Amino acid sequence: MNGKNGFTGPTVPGEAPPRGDSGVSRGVRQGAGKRDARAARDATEMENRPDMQRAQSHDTQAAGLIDRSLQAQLGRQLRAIFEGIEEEPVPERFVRLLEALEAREKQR
Amino acid sequence: MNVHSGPLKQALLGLIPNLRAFAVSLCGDVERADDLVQETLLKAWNHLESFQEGTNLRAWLFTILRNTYFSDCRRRRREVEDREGKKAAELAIHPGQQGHLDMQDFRRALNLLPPDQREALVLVGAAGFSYEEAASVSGCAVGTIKSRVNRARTKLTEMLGVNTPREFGPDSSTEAIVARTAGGTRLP
Repeated sequence: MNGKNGFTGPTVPGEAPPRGDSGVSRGVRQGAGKRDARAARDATEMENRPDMQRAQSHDTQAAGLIDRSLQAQLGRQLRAIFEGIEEEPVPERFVRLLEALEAREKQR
Repeated sequence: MNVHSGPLKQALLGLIPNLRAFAVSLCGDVERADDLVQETLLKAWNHLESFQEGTNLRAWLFTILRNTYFSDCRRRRREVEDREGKKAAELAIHPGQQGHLDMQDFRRALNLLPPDQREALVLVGAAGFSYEEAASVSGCAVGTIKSRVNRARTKLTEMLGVNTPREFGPDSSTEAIVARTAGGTRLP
């Protein structure tokens, strides 16, 4: 069942909901580290300033809600890709390959 | 295995759609995926003695396929990066039809994830493996799989979040939050 919930954090067993100090807030705190060095510095400063951290955690909760609907959507897209390929007929080359392997086996 | 080759062939045939889906999700390229599946089938057939009967044949095949993929990647890392860079550029220039756009974006973002994160996400999020099974397929700790899945989710959210804020409300404050969330996490 995990498979069907790969994106929906809260329903996966053994995982904390994406609130508070979960991966979501980590992501936000580390935010922009790659694309924007200045933002990364700001984020580092926030780690050391409790007043800014409070504001950050308020945003994090709102972002967490958006995150979850977005992640549910991403999960559907991931499964759609996967299932789309699963539904394709088995290419002939594999059928022939397995037949050849089986025939070789029988000759032994 | 001689006596079992008939049932084995049937079992392998039955698992091919699943293997192909895994391979395509993993490497983002149908042609290469089918080469991976072919190599996996050959290896499985020729090394059946190393398969422990009664254990999960699907997990065993997935393990062979991902090991093949990752050693392949190491061997031709440069070539792959060039090709995927080109592919990403093509998608950016030709986004395709409107209804298709989101899925194209998603595919591109998925392909841009680090391969180990993409693998963990596909195993758990699409192929239906538990964290424990995924860890055994990938040959790593359960905690590693969990953190890879989390990082993959975060990164996809960052990459795609900025493109879809209106789905969650058109007001500018929401967009500001989405933009901030999408700011980017450092690559590991």
